[in-house]
Amino acid sequence: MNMNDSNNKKTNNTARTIRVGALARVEGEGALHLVMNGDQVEKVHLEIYEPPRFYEALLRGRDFKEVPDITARICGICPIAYQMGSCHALEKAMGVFDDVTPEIRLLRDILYCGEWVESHALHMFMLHLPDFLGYESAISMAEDHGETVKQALRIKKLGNTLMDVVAGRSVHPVNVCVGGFYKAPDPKAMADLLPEVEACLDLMCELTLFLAKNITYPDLVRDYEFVCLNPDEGYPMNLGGLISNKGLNVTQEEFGNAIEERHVEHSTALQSIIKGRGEYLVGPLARLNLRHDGLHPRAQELLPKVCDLVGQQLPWRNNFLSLPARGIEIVHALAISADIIRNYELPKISRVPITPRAGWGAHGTEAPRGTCWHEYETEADGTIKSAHIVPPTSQNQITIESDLRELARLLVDVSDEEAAMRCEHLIRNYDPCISCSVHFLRFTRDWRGGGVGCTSPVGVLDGA
Amino acid sequence: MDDHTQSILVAACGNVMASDDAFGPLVACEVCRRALAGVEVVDLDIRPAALMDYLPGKNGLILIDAVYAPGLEVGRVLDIDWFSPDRPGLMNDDTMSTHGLSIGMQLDLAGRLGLLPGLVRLVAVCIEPAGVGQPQSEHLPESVAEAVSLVVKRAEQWSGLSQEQRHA
Repeated sequence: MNMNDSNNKKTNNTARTIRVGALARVEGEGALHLVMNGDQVEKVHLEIYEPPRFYEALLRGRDFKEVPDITARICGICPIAYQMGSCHALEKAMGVFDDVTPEIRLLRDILYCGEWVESHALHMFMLHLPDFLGYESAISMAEDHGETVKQALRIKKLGNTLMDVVAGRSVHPVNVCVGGFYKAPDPKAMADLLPEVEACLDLMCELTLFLAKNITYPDLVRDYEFVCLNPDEGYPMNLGGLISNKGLNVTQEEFGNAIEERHVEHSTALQSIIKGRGEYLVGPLARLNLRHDGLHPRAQELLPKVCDLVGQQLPWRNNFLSLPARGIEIVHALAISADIIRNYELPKISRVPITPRAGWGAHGTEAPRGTCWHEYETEADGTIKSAHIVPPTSQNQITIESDLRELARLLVDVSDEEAAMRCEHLIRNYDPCISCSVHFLRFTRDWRGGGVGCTSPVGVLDGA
Repeated sequence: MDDHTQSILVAACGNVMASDDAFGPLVACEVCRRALAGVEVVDLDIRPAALMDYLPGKNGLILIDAVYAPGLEVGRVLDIDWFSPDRPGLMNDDTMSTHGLSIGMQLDLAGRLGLLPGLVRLVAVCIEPAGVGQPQSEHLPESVAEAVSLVVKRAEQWSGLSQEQRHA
C-alpha cells in the first residue's frame, strides 16, 4: 500500500483527501473512493476499472463442449466454479441434467472441495489473517507464526492435489466435461490421498479453533440479505435452488429474473441487486447462516465451539467473521473429501452421453467466494448462441460499498493511513475476485466543506 | 521420481490467451518435452500462487515469465540471477501476482520459512502490455527457442548430470 504523503495526516476532519496506492491481497485491479462531509459519508465508490474481458462474447459460436475449458480460464483461483456452473447449465440445455449419475456428482463434489480448500486456505492465512494480527503481509507474519503458515501451506497444497487427481491439473483443469469427466480418477490415486486428507482435517479443526479463540474480530454488524444455494440435503455447493433470509426462494432457472444487473459509471463490473429489494451478500457467511444444518458432522461438531469462542451465535451478521466461517468450510470440505475417498470405486461411466440440441439452461454453484451463476442458449448443433455469467464479486459489490459506508462513519477520527488499512481489511472479508467480475485497490477519501486539503484531488499513486 | 531426481524446479507463469504473456507456458511445454532428469517442470498458468507447493526439497528454481520492461527491447530474453545484488528491481512485483501473493512475495515467504532453493534464476522475455484475446507477436517463437535453450542448459548444469548420465 502506498500513501500520498501530502495527505497522509489528518489535518481537518471537514476537508481531506487521501489517495492510497494499491490494495494488495485481492484479485484484480480496483480503487476505493470515499467522499466525506464532516462525519457524514457522501459517496462510497468501489471502482473496478480492470478492463472487461468479454468472455460471454467469446463463447458465442463455440461448441458447447469447449465451454468448461474456456470458462475455467476466467479465474486462476476458482476455475472449478466456472466449470461446474457451465457444465450444470449446459446439461440442462442439452436435456441430460437428470441423467448425471450420483457417482459423477460425488466426483464433482470432491473436486469442488479441493478448490474450496485451496482458495480458502490461501485467502485465510496468506491474505486475510495478517490484517487481524497486525502484520503487513504473510511474509512479516511468518517471522512470528512460521509454523502456522507452514501448516496453512500444507492444507492449501492438499487442495491443489485433490484437484490434480480428480481433474488432471489444479489450474484450469482438463478432465472436466459437460456430462461428467473425460476419465474417472484412478481408485489407488484417490486412496493414496486419504492419510493426508485425514491429517489436514485434524489440523484444520485445531487451526479454526485457534483463530476463533485468539483473534479479536472488529464489530460491524449489518442487516444483510444472505443468498446461497439451498440443496435438498447437505451444504450448499453444486445443487439446489436459491434462498435468502429475507424471502427469496427461487429455482436456478428463476434466479436470473430475480436479480437485476446494473451498470454504474465507476465500475466495469456489473452490480447485482435483488429486484424490488436491493443489495445482497453471497459467500461463506451466507452459506453458513442459511444452511449450517447441511455441514458434515465434523464441522457440525466444531461449529458451537467456534461460536462460543467468538462470542456470537448464528446467524453471524458481521462479515469479519468470514474468517472462521471459511475455517469451518475447509473442515467441511476435507471431511466430505475423506468420506468420498473412503467409498470411492471406479464408476461404470465417467460421463453421460449427450446429443446436441437447441436448448436453454441456467445454473449457479457455490464458488469459494459465493454463488456463480451461468446461463446458456444453444443452437441445434450444440453451438453456443448466448452466454451469461454472474460472478460472486459483482453480486457482492454493492454490499461491500454499504459496509464501507458504515465503516467510514466510524473512522472519522482516525488517520488516513489507519482508515485506508481498515477499509482494505473490510474489503478482504469478501475475498473479492475483481478479475472475475470484470491486484490493486486505490483508496481516496475526500472531505467536503472547506478547509485545508479539501480541494485537491491528488495524483494517484498507483502501487502498480 | 524421488526427491533427488526432482531437485530442480522449472516453473512458468503466463496466460496462453493473452498475447505474448503465453511465453512462460510455451517455454515450459518445450522444456517438459525434453524430459530432463532431475528436473520438474510446472506450468503455473495464471495462478503463480501455487509456486510454494513445489518448492520444498528443491535445490534450484528457474522461473519463466513475461515482463513489461519499458526501455528494453521487446522480445529480448533476460536471464537473471534472483539473488544478484545487480538484479534489476521489479517495477511492479504485483503484476506477477494472483490473489495478492506474487512470485516475489512467495520467494520472500519461502526464505522466511526455510523453503527457498539456494539457486534461483528468472528467465523472462520483454513484452508489450498484453490483453486477453490479442494474438502472439511474430518474434515470440524466436524468444521461446532462445529461452528453452537457456533453461535447459541451466537446469542440466544445476542438476549436475552429464549428457551420458541423462541418457543412461
